[in-house]
Amino acid sequence: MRLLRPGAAAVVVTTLSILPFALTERPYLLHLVILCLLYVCFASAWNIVGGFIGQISFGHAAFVGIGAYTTALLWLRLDVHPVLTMPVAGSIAAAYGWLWGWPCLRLTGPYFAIATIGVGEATRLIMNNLDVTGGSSGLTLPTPESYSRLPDYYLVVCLAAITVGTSLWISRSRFGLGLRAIRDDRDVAESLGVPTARYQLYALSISSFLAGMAGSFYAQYIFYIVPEEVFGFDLSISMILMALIGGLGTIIGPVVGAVVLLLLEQLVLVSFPNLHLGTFGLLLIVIVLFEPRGVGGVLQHLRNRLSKESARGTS
Amino acid sequence: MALLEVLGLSRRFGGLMAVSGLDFRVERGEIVGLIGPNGAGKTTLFSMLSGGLLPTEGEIQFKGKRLAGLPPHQVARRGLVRTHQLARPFGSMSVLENVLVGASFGHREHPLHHAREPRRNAMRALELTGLLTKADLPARVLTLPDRKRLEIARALATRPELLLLDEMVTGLNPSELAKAITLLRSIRDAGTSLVFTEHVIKAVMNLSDRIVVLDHGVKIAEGKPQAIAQNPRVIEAYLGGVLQEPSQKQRR
Repeated sequence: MRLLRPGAAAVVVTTLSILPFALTERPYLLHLVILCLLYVCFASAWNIVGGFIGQISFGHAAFVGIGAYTTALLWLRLDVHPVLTMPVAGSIAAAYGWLWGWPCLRLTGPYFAIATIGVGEATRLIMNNLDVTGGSSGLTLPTPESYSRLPDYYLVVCLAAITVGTSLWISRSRFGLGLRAIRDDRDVAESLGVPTARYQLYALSISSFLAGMAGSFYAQYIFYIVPEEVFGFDLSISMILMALIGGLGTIIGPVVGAVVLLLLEQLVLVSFPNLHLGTFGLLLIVIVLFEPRGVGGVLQHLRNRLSKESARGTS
Repeated sequence: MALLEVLGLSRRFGGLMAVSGLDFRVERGEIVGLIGPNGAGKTTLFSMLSGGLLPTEGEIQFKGKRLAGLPPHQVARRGLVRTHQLARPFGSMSVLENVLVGASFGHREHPLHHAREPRRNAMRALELTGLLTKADLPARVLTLPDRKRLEIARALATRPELLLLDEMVTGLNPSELAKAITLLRSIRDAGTSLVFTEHVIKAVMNLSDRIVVLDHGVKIAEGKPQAIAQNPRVIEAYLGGVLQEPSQKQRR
């Protein structure tokens, strides 16, 4: 696989580690890179359920929100260092995923999707009306006096590496083979010995753990969280969009999708604030119609053609 | 002790008894043909045996242990695996990966489980079914006979003790049919017992050690192929009692 080629890996690691120093004069660009890596986390985490077992979740913002609020509350109330709260945030999100995954994962296709809309929206409404979350006005976190983006940058690099690395590990493991079997035909997978119910729950828990950690990072990076945003339906939708645009069920797809979505957001949102949703919709239609494997699929296609042509050239 | 023992097994769907009070057993190394007109309850029986459907009443014992109530994947891991009437390959996988699913999940892991073992078992199953040269093809491009082979290879890779085959040779042409019969025999000779449902009577007569006939969920006959072919109740069930062929009987 491309991602593990030592040469490519070295290039990625070097680029990511020296990038902030190249951008010291342009903090806004660094901010965009951090956002982009956060999007990579969102999309890759979602992809473990939506791509690997093919259960399209419209409720993943619930995990992000729970992660964000866990960190915010532990930080505000108990003064725990935010980085230390990340595994806690992930675990609580995973527990929540386990809780509703247990009944919902018996459903498939559109039924599962609708159930997740229900869960996601119910979570948002409840959080919006609780005192502990600050209700609809949200929570403001303590901003430090001197502020550098560098620690946040390296933190999100690590988080993205963990998320993508987990996906990569799953896709090559026996567990991942079972998940693919479930995606292709759940009944046949079960009849060949794949514990389908348990595996789907594992996948959802891993996915929600990673989404919760990403939510935790969001809280400590933005310093301000409000239920309408971190539990918002829009967030769930963009997680789906990124994975779909990049290529469902692949490793590189959500990464590519995150970059594309961020670029589009920046390019379109700035000049035509009302057009960005329309642009995503259009892009989505084009992708579903012409290249269901997403932008990642197109890239793969081009690569194959290039390597074929170069092979022809040498022979 | 019989490998599989079914006692008083019934399944009701609303007012319909799909299977009713069925007793039958399968010994080790046996090939049992299960026949009956459409709607006789064959597929319902298979679904109950493989764990997908709970019986309304009755008992299923496999290797002396109760089976009813276990989820299908655990039934498979205990050594009882079914194939599906319509060959259903995993469409996103290669032929080898399809078989690897069975090899990796269909068997209880040995404590000293070796990582390469699933792959070895998968290759063995592909070799036996003649799919080795197609191992790297995407499974969705296979022809119907190859899909059926893949269905068998996938089940074999789990190293089952009892294989339930649902209409495995239906739709094959005569030369493919002959090959399939040879394959099923060799599977039995390698130590796996078989129960199969089939409409192709030639295959049933040819392959079965024993035949069980179902009609409207009830077992109406059981015995050697020759005996079944002449059983008046079987002929009645299949042909509605029109053809008694009295002239032949008189001639004898």
